[in-house]
Amino acid sequence: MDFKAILQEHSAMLGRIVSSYEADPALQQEVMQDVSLALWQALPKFKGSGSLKGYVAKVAQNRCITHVSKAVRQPRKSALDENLVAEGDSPEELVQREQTRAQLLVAVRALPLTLRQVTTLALEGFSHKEIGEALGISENNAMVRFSRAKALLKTSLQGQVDG
Amino acid sequence: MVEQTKNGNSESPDWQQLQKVWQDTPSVDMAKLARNARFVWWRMRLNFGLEIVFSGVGFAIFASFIDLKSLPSTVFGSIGILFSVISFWAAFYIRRGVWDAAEEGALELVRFQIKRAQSEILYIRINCWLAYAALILMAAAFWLFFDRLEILDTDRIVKFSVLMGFMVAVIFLFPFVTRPFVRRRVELIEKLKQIECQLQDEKPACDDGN
Repeated sequence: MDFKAILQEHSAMLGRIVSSYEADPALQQEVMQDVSLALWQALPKFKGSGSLKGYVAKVAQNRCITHVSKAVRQPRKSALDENLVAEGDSPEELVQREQTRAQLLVAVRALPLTLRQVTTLALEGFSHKEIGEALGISENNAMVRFSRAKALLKTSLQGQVDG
Repeated sequence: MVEQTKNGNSESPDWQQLQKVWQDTPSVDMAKLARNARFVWWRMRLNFGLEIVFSGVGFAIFASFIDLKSLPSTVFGSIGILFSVISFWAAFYIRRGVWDAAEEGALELVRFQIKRAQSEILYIRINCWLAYAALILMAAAFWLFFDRLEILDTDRIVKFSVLMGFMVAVIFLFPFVTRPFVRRRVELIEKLKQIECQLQDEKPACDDGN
């Protein structure tokens, strides 16, 4: 199992999971480091049951949860990321998209922990079954949490737009 | 009517859009992090190995004092051996389960980290008591030293006295130096307990922070 290749393959997902738990970019690096160490330790134990992506996400989520220095930080505006530039994007579209992404991050971070876990995995495209497996809860419970999270997310995003 | 996607999550244009926005982020270069993870992993093992080696070397050195067959050297050697054995035990104690818990459930991991932080506090407290107990070791060292005074020159006596003075200072400062660490660990445990409660959201007993 090539650790470096696996880490690189899931780097975007790992970055998103970490940023949903930690707002401070400097501390994000620190959590990212913790996550990569946790993966280095955990990957040899992956038995192949379920997807590798799900396993990586589970380990990352667990590590982020135990990163308690994140506790209750004020959401802050993130700087525009030049890497986000894609072909055909006008500057206005870029700004709009980055703004939406920042609002989404703020809304996700504001969710209660159990709902945040479900939301980040759902946003990554995991099914309820996979979310349940990753978090050690039933598929039904994952569905209920997701539904509550979605309602809260909608309210929060609406509040940000109105505010 | 709620449409279902192939992954089972309910789909509305809003949610699809959010997923797209969420996933539309660049990859991070993980090469440096991967290298550093390997480095930290090996460093953890190296630290553990060094502690074991130091305990073993200490054990051998103190055992050699018992071979001198005088009362002061036997007392000094015995206390030293006790210290080495406790250090050896502590090297395992503070690391129990540390290297293989990352893939457990979040709640188990949080509980594990609480136990780990508690054992770190206990480790520091044991070290504080060991430091005070080291005064006995130093008293034994003085006894041993003056027992062999006739074969030592002034220069050695001065060096020995300075060394002992330095060690006494370290022993008395140790509890003060470690106090911020213990305080940080206590705060960490409080935060981890809050997270433990959040993860058990079905249990209302946690709502009041108990």
